[in-house]
Amino acid sequence: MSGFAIIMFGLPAAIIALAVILVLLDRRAER
Amino acid sequence: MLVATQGAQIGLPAGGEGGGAALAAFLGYLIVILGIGVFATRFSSAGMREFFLAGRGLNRYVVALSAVVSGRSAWLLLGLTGMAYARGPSAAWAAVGYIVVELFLFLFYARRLRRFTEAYDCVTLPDFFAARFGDANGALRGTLAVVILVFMVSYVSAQFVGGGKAFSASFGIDPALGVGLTAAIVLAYTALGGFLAVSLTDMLQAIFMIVALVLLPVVAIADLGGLGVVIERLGRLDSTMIDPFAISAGAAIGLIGIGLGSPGNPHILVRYMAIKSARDLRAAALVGTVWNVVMAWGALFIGLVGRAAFPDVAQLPAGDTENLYPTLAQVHLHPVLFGIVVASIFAAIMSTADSQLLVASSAVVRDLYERIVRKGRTLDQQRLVLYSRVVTVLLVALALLLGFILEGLVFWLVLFAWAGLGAALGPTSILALYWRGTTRTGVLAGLVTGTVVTVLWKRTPDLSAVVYELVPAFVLAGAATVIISRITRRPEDIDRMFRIMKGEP
Repeated sequence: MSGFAIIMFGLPAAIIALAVILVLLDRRAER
Repeated sequence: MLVATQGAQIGLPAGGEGGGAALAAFLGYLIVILGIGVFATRFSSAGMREFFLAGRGLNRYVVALSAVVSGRSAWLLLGLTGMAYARGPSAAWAAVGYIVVELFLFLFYARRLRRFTEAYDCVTLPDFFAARFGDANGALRGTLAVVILVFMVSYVSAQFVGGGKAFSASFGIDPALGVGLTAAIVLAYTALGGFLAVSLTDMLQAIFMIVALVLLPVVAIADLGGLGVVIERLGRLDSTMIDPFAISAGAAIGLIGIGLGSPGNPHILVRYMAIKSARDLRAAALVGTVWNVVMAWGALFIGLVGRAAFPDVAQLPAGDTENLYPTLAQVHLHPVLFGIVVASIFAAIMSTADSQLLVASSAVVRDLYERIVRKGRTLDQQRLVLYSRVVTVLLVALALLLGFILEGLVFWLVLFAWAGLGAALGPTSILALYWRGTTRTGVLAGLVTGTVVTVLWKRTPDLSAVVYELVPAFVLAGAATVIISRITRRPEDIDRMFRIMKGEP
């Protein structure tokens, strides 16, 4: 995978995945 | 980053099919936002909490979109697209920092701020600092209010100037008249409907922006023959145009460091205080992050496809990369969709200007008047709202005056605003929320250090060439706050404050 693809497609997907993971962890911590 | 907020010579042809569609789309948009201003008037007239904080009852999605677009301004549409045009995919580093920082703000920082500010009935950010540090003589509140006022009015002035240029370029009217029209529109719905109107219009503006930022790159890439063709053309121009790592470490840190401004800019932070419940911030974090990512990468793709379409910057109006966004839209989109793109530029300008105007107004009426000049007295809430509306009108007049007479000073202040506020208020507010040992004197030291280092670093070419001034200023302001806090006394009821922030009984 080229650097271009990593940054232009992988990075935005990774940031959204990070948001989802943090939200799920936070929800679990509250329970 | 802030140059784009000064607006750009967009260079669109006035009139014609495109001009008519743009005008129709713009007028429709205008009627809706003014309608929202009227709709919110009655609710906002009840008191300060309603006028400046929408009664702490905002929906999670409204807060998510409002916080995201208030922080972006025309920089996203004109500046980031231009940066991607000029330097290729390495411009992505400018988006990563603020998106990740704002995700953490939504999930962690905002929750503590929301809980504390409700318990202590804080309406403004200086209110929060005053309550957190027992600011009996008003020195901390007064300092913060003045700093916020100066930077916010300068910001508003720059947004109006940008709006005037956009009006001039889009509809062929005199730029000065365009500045006046931008100011009149923002003033009308902000003074009438207060924070509720500003937040609801922000949501509409966020929708305009994301539609334009998704539509334009998709259509333009398809017109050019697909992403493969675009990448091939970019690669032939210059290998750095397809290499996101063609950037020095200092430049990358500086671009990522833009995100450090978010926890210090009050027009973003006050949104977190207005959400209905601290629990709602979780959903807001998700929606806000997705919105931020889609808008930013839309802007990046516009820059890249724009470079493939116009390889030489001389092909852009006035040879300015900030003109890429509307120029590309004019070439590739149907006139009606082009109208949406034009409206999105105004949406970006207005969604930032209205939020900054209201924060400036709250600094005058809530902090300087109610809590310092008339300290200890119970004032009629509806009368305070009336004063707030009058002050909003006066601040718009001041911003116009500055924009017309002292544009150089406004430009100078705006150049420091994002970094100065970020470095002064960012580390101090984070420490106030997370470290019990933070003291009032420590915060004052952090405020001074952050501001001074920002200005000195920026004005020293050898230093500013190494890294964006916000990064060292943020670190040093944090260090100054910690060091001075260590040798001064913390507030007495600190344990109770932290129980409230953590949501403990």
